Amino acid sequence: MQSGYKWTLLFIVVISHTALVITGEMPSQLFFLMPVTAAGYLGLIRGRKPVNRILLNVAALATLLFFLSDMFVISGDLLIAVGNLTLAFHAIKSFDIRTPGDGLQVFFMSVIQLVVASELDQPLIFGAIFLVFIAFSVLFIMASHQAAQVEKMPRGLLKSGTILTLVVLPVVALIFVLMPRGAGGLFGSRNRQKAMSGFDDKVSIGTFEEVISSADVVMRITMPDGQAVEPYWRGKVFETYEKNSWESRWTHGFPYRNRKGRIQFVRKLPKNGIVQDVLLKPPKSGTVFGVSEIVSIACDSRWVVQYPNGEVAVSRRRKKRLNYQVVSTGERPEVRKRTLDLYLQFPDGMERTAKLTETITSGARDEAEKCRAIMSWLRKNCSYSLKVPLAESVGNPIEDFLFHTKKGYCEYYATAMVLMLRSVGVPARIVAGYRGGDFNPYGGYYVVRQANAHTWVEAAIGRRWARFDPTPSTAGGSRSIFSNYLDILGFAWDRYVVGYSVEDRQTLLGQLRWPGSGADNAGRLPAMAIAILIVVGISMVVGRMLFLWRRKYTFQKRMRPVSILAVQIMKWLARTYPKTADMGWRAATGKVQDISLQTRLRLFFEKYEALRFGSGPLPTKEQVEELEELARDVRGKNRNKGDG
Amino acid sequence: MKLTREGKGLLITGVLVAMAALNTGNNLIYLLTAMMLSLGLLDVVAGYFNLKKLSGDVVVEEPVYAGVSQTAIYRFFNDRKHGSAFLVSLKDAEAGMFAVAPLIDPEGMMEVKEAVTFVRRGRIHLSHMRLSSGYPFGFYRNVVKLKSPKSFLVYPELTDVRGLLAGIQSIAGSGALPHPAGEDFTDIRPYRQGDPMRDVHWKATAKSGGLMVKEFRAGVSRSVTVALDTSASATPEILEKGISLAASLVEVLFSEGHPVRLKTLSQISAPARSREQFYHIMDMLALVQPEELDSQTLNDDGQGILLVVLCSRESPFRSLAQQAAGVFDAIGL
Repeated sequence: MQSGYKWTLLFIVVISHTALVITGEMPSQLFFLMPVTAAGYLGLIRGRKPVNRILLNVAALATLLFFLSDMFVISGDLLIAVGNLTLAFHAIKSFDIRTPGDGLQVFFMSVIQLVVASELDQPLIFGAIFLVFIAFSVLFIMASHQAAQVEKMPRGLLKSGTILTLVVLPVVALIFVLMPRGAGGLFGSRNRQKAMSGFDDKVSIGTFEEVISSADVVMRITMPDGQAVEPYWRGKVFETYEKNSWESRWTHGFPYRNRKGRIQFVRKLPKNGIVQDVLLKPPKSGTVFGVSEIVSIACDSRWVVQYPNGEVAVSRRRKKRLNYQVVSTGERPEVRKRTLDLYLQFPDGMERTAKLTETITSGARDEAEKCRAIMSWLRKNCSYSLKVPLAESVGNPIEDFLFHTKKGYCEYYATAMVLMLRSVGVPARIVAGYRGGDFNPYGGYYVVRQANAHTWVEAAIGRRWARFDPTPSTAGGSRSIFSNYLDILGFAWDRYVVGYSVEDRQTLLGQLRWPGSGADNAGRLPAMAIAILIVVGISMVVGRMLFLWRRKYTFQKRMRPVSILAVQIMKWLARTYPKTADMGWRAATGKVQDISLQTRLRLFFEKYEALRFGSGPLPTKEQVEELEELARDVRGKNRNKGDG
Repeated sequence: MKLTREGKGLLITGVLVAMAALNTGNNLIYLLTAMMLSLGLLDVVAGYFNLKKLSGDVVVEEPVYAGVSQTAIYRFFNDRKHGSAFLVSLKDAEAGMFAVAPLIDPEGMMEVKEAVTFVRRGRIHLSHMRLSSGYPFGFYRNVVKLKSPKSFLVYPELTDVRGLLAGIQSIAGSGALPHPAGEDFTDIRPYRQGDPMRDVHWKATAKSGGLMVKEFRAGVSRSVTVALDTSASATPEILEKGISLAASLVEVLFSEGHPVRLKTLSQISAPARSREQFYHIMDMLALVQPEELDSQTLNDDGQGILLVVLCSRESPFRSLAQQAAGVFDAIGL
């Protein structure tokens, strides 16, 4: 086996192991096997003999037993158990690579390892990992096949491998895009991916801190019409406050069967509706986020539910990325008078809060003024902090916030305001969602992170729910150009690779029409066809130019030593037989009286003519060496050497 | 096109990965499935172009004796104007011949020499000779049948019979001598493998451009007839032993200068005075099959020494054995 084959194999193993480790989901107990695997491969590269088969078989048997116990007892998780099994088998196999066929087994094992890794997580770095893995797979399999056939790598095989690698990548992309696919979840499927976004159905006071501290991207929102909006991405609405937790009163909403891929909650869509394309990381619940008030949604879910509080949720078969488009009116939600009592619920034991509110709102003439007064008081008397000090009176975090610590974050501010409003008879509720986000000017979309998670207040004023945000705004840092571009990559990865759906495929296939076909396009080339023609045309021109340049360059490179040899012999001949100067080689050869030299000269020049002007391919290295040999023969160097 | 062991591995892993993709709906697993499909697809396409306009043939240096390692020259031709061909093999599984050309340049030829040993005598038809390649990934092998398959004769296996001949007075005493220096030759013919270099006729060689050798008339040695019992009653194994023994006797006797004849139950060769005639006898031995007795053969009264090789208990040549200078029983070998 050759070193190229071994090195590419090692690289493939490193890539698949890296993918598994990056997920962060694998228990680290078996990571000690990685140095063992590395030692095995270094031994292989150095030419060390494989370890005794009996020993390896015993190890393999032990690994299988461990796998069974891992699957049912230790981790109790098939994916983790398979991941551990591949780690162990990689370690064992690294000491047992005898033929290129063994290398292929390792390659297939690495593929399984990537399958496990991609079920555990799907970060952007996997894009690079998969790209490198595919490229090296091509090189490795070629090297493996070559090693099985011949000892020495033939000239030009590496170049051919590089070309094939460049061909494989677009072919993979094409097959990936066109491959028929389903939504998954056929049997025993259990998505292990972490829920990255959204809120639980019950939010306890003090649990937001962890969420807000994270910089993970939750969703990316593109607004095709580019309207200016206040970036409050509304999600869950909570009505009931009990035992320091907020809960939604509405467990059932109005279900819509999504047959056409789009649901409309109103008869007529507003003219200036705000369109938002949202790509949401695996959410905790089916709640969708968007600017108030959502009147239409397009998604691939079978069911869409609209709740009486304006919240919209979709049905999901598994925790995967959610890609949808919503249209919002941009207006405040309408108040339903029948349900107003829900928003006046006030917990017992908070009389102190009620008294404080009365004092604050004593001068207020209407609900709106009461709201402003409370919000102003909160902003003036409390300060924003993610680190909430320990409370003096354990049991009521809001009274602690209002009367003792006076430090808190959005959850504290919003809850306090809602309860204060309710204490003075203003119906109010908590809305959980995301506020703001970084606008990526290069990609033209909002990047919303966990840190943008937010709760605010909606109070019923007149016939509409008015939004109040008592939490003081915190300054957000600006993003560098590099991080913006990196985020575009991440967006593309999430949207077009990880989030590529059956609908995307159908849309794409629908666009691939034959030029001029279709009623709308009669006599016109579709944009896709024009793009393909342009790409093919440019490729042909560039290819032809490269071919001509290469031919010229190769011709000069390969023909030069042949010409130099001919010139040297002509000069030598002119020096040895001055009469032959300025003669062509035929005439000059004829003047040489030594029959033996004449024959050698003829042989040399005939060979030279065949190489230089013949119709065959460009001279090979061996042919040039042959001509050099003939040249040495002409000058008698070979004979002298032989005589000596 | 044949699926290889590696190809089966790809197929099984590919199906497993595709099932995982369908089950989970995970696009990254779909990506891996696409990768495996692409590898399979490219292997077929690149493999097809790799074998396009390729041809090959095999030359085995004659004479070929069973059981003796021989050099076979495999020639690969690439008639394409562009694009080298990689890892192409020529194989005839039935004849046990195989060679790989790592690289064949465009409009070029590659020669590969490999040792080959044939187990049995007879005519070898290279009709199963195939040009094949698993390039680039080896998941499939594209196979092309050669258009004009070659054939050649494999002579019987030779064994050392000098010891057996040493006991026969009439042969031991009539050892042929090399022709004396300056003796006139009777003919000039092209050189054959095995001809002594001292017999090369240099002037004729210079004129013809190929090596020519002088042919001398038979020396003083006595002619020898080797009678081989080829009766159908002999078992195939014994018959093969007998044929091998007869071929070895003919070879030793001819190399010692005796004009040798071969007589089977139905065929009689001319006495081998020249190498050409010697090879004619070896051709007979390479192809001989169990025969019925021809009365003319039995009545043939060849002059000189008679050696009989018996292959069966009821051999029709048993009657000849009484007049023979030597009798060799293949059954006892």
